[in-house]
Amino acid sequence: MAVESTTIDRKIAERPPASLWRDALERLLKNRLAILGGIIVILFVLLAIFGPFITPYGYAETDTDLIRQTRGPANPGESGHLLGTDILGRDLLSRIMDGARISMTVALVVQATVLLIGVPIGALAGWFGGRVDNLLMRLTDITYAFPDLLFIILLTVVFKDTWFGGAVDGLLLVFVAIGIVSWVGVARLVRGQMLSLKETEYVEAARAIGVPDRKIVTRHLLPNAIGPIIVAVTLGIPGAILAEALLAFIGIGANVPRASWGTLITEGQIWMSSEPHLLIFPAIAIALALLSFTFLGDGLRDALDPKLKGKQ
Amino acid sequence: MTTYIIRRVLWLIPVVFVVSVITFLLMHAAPGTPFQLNPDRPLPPQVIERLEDQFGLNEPIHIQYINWVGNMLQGDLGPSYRIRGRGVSEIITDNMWASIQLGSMAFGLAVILGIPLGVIAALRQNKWPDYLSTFISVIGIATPSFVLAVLLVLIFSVTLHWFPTSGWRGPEYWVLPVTALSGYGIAQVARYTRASMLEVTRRDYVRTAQSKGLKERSIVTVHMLRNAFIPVVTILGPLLAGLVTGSFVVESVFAIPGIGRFFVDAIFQRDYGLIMAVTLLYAVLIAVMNLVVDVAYAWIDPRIRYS
Repeated sequence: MAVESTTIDRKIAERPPASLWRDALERLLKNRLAILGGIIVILFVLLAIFGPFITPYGYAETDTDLIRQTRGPANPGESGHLLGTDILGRDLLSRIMDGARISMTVALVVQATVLLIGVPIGALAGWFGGRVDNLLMRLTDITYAFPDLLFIILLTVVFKDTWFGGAVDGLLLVFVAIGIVSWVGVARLVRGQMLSLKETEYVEAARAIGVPDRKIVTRHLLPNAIGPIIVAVTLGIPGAILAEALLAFIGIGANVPRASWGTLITEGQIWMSSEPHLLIFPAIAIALALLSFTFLGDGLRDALDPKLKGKQ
Repeated sequence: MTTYIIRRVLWLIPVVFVVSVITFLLMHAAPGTPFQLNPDRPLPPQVIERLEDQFGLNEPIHIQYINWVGNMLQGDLGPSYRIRGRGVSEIITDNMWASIQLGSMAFGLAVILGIPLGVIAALRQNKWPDYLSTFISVIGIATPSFVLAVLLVLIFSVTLHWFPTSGWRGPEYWVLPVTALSGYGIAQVARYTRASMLEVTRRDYVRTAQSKGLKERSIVTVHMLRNAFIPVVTILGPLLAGLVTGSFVVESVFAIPGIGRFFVDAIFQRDYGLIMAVTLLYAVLIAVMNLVVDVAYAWIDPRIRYS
């Protein structure tokens, strides 16, 4: 019996990708906004990875000649600085690129944390039901009840002086703290998916031939729930980027001289009447990142949700 | 329905309990106490000890928690350790109104502007009102409240001198903060309203109404709006929660005397009583607003039954 079930499983694994995915890709490629969003996202990711190799200046490097000559920041386009420099003569474009690095890492680490907590909790609750479900859902309710931003600030303050608080220029702690309050949505989603998929015939069939629980969940249920999970994760990214920028804006986040976009905006706010470029370019960077992830997420949702097929 | 509401309200008790325990433990786990945070002018150790004795901070942590709960149940939130001579309850009641005004005006604006924008966009799909509405939504999603706040100050205060940059003394002071805080809400409400109006347009009962020859106005108001609102109501809960936490950044940009600005300071200064009070206030507020939204949901859609 056990031998048979594994051969069946292997056959399923070796089958060419389901046509749902090819379908979804086709629909996604027809959505111009989603494509635009996707391209900008890829650009940001490339900037985050290769930014330091592209720019002639480091993000913390002061253009001393410039400061000696002009005693002030360069405007956009002046003295070889495409977007100008800040008050200390640091190249704004390089700083925005390093900010992209921070924001893209936020997207990655926060959503990884969300998946690591949310998927197991949702899967366990949905699969076992009953008491386990009750307990785990109460846990999610309580997490949801926490005023999230306040909780993140508290966490970052508490663990600031530990080794974890110092990791990655103080950023890892911020990322994980954001993740810890953000998994509720994914957990509820996965639970809902489990509950409905559990009743399907192929799961019943798998159970009838004696496939163990763990395998049904990992081989049948989770792969079938993956579409909505991808959508939720993508649409959660703008929130994560936003939370990090907001914390940086109020002074919680990367240690100086690293600067997240939120920090750049705080600095820009101080000099906004005389040096508006210090405020406007970081604001544009945040706006582009938030929009592109939102458009891509919306596109993915429309593409992966067969119920919407044929509409619009 | 009544039993449902009672159950939800009772459920608040364990939630508040757990939130308060976790917050209490976390804030006491943070290094330093309220009296030893200024390294340049450290207080003499004897003084610190006397102060900690006086406020009961030398007791074991569970005793401190029990004391705090006991006092709170009698309506005493304790003293502020950093703002001399003022009780936490007094600080909260003095500063609550500005926050409540800001939050409710922003929420009101999000609903009052967002819904018509979405409705008009759906009724004139792919015509200029639709594009205008989409444009506003895009701006709202792309600019976080603090960025919008700073940009509004730059444009309307610093450059044009139309509105004051900070303070909370009258309607002209309200315009910029409320706009900044509600921008994202307007965008979200408009997006959801548009999508669900378009969804409703394709329903059979709307086609029936059209074929009966009803006027467009009555089809929209009688048949479409109420049904289109149902999905919109679901996002109002998270939206309200976002407004509550988002308001403290807007408060700090515009120097509004609200509660939000105390929170960050209170954490950094280990002002224990104030941290507890603000966290619990927000937790209860968010829970109550979610309950209100859920009840509204059942009221607008009679098919929904809570048990």
